[in-house]
Amino acid sequence: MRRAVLILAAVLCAAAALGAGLWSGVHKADAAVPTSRVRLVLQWSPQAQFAGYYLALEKGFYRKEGLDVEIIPGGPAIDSLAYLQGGKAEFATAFLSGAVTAAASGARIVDVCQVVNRSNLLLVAHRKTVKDRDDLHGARVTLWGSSFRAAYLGYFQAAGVKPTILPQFFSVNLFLTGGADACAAMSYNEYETIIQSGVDPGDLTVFSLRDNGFGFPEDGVYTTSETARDDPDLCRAFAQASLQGWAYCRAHPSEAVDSVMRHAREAHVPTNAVHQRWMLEHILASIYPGEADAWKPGVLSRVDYERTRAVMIGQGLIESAPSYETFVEKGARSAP
Amino acid sequence: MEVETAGEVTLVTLPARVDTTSAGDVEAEFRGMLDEGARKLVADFAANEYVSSAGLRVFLSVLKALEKDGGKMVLCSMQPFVADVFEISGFSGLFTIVASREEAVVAF
Amino acid sequence: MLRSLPIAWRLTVLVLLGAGIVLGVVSLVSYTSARDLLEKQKRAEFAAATAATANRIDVVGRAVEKITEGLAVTVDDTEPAPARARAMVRRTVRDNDELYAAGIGYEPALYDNFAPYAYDPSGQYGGTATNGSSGSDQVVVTDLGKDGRAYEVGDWYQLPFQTRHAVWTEPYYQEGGGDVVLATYAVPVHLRDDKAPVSAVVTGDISLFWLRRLLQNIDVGDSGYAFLISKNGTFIAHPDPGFIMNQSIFSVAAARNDAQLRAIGQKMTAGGSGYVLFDGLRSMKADGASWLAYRPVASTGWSLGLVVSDSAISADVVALNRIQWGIALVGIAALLVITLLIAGTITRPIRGLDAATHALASGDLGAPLPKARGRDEIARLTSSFSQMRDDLERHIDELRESTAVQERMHSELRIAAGIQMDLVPRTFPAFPERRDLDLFATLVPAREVGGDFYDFVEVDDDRLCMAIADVSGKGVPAALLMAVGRSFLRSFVREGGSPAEVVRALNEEIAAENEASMFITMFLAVADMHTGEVRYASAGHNPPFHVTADGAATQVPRVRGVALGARPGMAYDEGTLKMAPGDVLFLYTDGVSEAMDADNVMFTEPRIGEELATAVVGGASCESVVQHMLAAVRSHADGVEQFDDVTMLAFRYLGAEE
Repeated sequence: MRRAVLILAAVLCAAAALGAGLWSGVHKADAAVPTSRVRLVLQWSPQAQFAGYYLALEKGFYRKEGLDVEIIPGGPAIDSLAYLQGGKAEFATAFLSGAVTAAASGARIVDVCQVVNRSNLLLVAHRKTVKDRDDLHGARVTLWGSSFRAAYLGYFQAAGVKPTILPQFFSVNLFLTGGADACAAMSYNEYETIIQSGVDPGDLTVFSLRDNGFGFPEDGVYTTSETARDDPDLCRAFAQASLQGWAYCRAHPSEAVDSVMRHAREAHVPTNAVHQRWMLEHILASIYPGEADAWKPGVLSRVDYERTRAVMIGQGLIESAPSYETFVEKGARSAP
Repeated sequence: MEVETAGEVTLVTLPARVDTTSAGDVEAEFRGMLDEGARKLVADFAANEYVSSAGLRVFLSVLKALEKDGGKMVLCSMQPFVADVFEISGFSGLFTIVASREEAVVAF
Repeated sequence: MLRSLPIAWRLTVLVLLGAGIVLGVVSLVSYTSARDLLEKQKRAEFAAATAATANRIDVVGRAVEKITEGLAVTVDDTEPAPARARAMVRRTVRDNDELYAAGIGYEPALYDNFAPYAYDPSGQYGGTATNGSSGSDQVVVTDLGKDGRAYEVGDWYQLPFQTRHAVWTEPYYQEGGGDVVLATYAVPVHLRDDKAPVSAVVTGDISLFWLRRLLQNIDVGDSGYAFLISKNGTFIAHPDPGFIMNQSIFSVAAARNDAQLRAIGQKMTAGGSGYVLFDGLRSMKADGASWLAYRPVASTGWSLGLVVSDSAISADVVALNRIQWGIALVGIAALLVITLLIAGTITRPIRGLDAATHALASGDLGAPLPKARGRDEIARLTSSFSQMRDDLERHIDELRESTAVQERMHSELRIAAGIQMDLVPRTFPAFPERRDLDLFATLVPAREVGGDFYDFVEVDDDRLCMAIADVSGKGVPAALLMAVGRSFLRSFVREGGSPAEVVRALNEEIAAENEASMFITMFLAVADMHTGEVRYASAGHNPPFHVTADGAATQVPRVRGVALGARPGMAYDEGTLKMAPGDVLFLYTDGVSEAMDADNVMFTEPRIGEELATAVVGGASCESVVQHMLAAVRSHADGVEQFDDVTMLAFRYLGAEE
């Protein structure tokens, strides 16, 4: 049903454009194009981690694809995948490990666009108590909730250390006040926060999961299996526009930061432009591959998926997970 | 000029030359003595070698002044040349001329 | 170069230079010490203000701690009675103005997600209300755990829960949006029977709104401001509201690439106190040198910073310095004027003297002199100058007089010489038509006319009268006497008397009025041309020489006769001699016999005789005889100046004319 509407809308739009001729200026000559209203729920509060989506909306990339997108900001009280499953949004961003966990528990979700293909997970420790990996044994380490822990637990096991795991929620203050010896941190977020709390890099020991063989892809755009089955074009369109948004951020970082700051202020999120700039740069580095990297933006490779699933099962976080084909929408799959 | 007094007599020893240059001083000294009241003058020519007409004039002038006041002048110890000058000019007749100082002192 | 300036300017320049240097040094010293003093004072004031403010904040922090701990103590039931718990938190908030809210977060699993929480949106320290009303009835009590909310994820629960001791959280925005920024003191509580080490976390929240107002009211001068940062360096209070919660002192330092600011932030968050010069913290950009005084708020772990611009601190000093410079400039200007005035009192009279000197030099002795004022060197100089001028005037007058006198004297001498020359016959041959005689005479006057004369006159056809005379004295009087003498002589000779009679008559005339005691020596002879007989008389004159044709020279025998004019009534004798043809009679004055050489050796009469003997031989003319004698006298004198007139008359009897 939706597809038919879309096709009709596209035809009418083309006809109107041909009939009206050139229309210069700021006007977007797409008033007559029928659009689908979709809601995107983000996995956290507004920050540069989601700049691509903001810019895709502001710059009209979604609209060009015939999508009228509403972005629902996330936060501590919101579970983006639950929103998705509950029908409160058509698309949701989520961590890969979180999505795999949900899928393993029976959630019918599909990855339509793997945005962040490189791990940004770090373990940041006070150099005073943890000078090297072996010092982690018995150390007090705060980690995020279960779905984020997979990589860390796998790393600890492989390293043969057994730290005391404490919960980590929405701050690293337990670590900063000395209540913990180490904490989990995103290289693009908490690490910078720690530095901007006055801790010098020389006082920290930083373990990069990626460098230690436990780096997995992270943020992706998910939709329900139903949506993926019924409207693959919608999914493609959304994925494409989103990637265009990210491409625009890469080309216009200052504009992207401005947009993010506006959204953050609206949501009363305490942050500053320097922090967001840092975040944007690091996120972009994990979206767009370097010369030595093999991934493709928007694509979740089979290898990465298999590896992630294996570690999670190995750590006993899940018992099983869907197959690659089930989990990943066709447009986001790697070449066989 | 050396001046001595022996009682009322004033003895004057004349200089070596009484000519135009010294005549004025000699006359002034004599006049001074006259002003002081000397009336008995002895002019001792022992040291004198030459008297010019200007010098003669001085003696004439002193003689006239003395005689006006009742005084007397005696000349003594003249050397030959000077005596001759007085002789030729006839002044030897005007003055009392004696040979020596001792004689001059008592010639008054 | 300085030397070429006028005195007034040189004095002024040197005085000003000296004064300027002294002033400059004094100014510099006083400026630096004043600045140091003021800075110290400002620093002390500044530090005191910072300490006082930090204390005020600390007081509230401690109050909150006490209240919360008090609440924690009362939470000791094994089983919290919800109603009682709710009442407790309400009462705590109602009774304590310092609190914005109070709560008890029970362990969710153990106590069914129960977390009573009371807050007062208004109140002196709380909320966004600006008026202080202790609205006890406005306290709202809620349950943070309502609807299964996971309240335990907050720092206020986790930190005390994991560390087992009370803690101040970082400031955070109150849930539910709005501008309320809170900080929480969280105290872990262990209920009596619990196995878990922490059963609940009791909290006391303070709203940070009142903080901002407090800091706004601090007096840090017009350009000063205050800020407060949390333990993580996040701005809790700042003049720019956009900084609050968004920026930390470290994020500003990172944006500016300012390592000093980062280090300052670390010192502040480490609980240090200090006073440092830095680039300001009012905005993201560095805003000029400023002084920061910082002190920790001990209870909450925050740090307070007071900032004052460096120029504000030194504004007082700069103002002081400006006043000083103003005074100095005025002083220097006054000094300039005074110095010029003083210099003027010196240079004006000097210039006056200078002008007077010029006038004097150009001959104007009457030029006005500057008045001598006072008794200083200038006055003395002026009066000396005046004295000198007067002396000069007198000296010039004397000089003029003596010059006039000299002139007179010279003219007198000229007159005398003129008279003398006019009176002696100078035409030779004297009697060109007579062949019975040869006669030549000469008179070489001395510089100062001596009054010699000679004369010859034909008495009659047969007789010639010759005379030679020497007037005593010199100059015009001598010349006049000579003139008188010659006139009388001529007239007496013409009357026809004998030589003795003539001379005697002359004496009477001349001795008559002779105050000056002048006299004339004279030799007078009358020669008979027929017979060659010569009758003569002498008035005190050198006897002439009779030279025979063959050169025998003898002096004519003396005859009695006193110089003319000495005394009246004198008797004169007469003498005679006979001249053979060719004999010469040589008349002379004592200018010849007494002519002196450099050793004062006289020519002497014998020498005359010798020379005559040589000169007359061979029938030489009288002229040549006279010239010969003249030459002999001159050669004897050998350059010594002629002192007396040299007068000679040579007469040769040539025999009677047929």
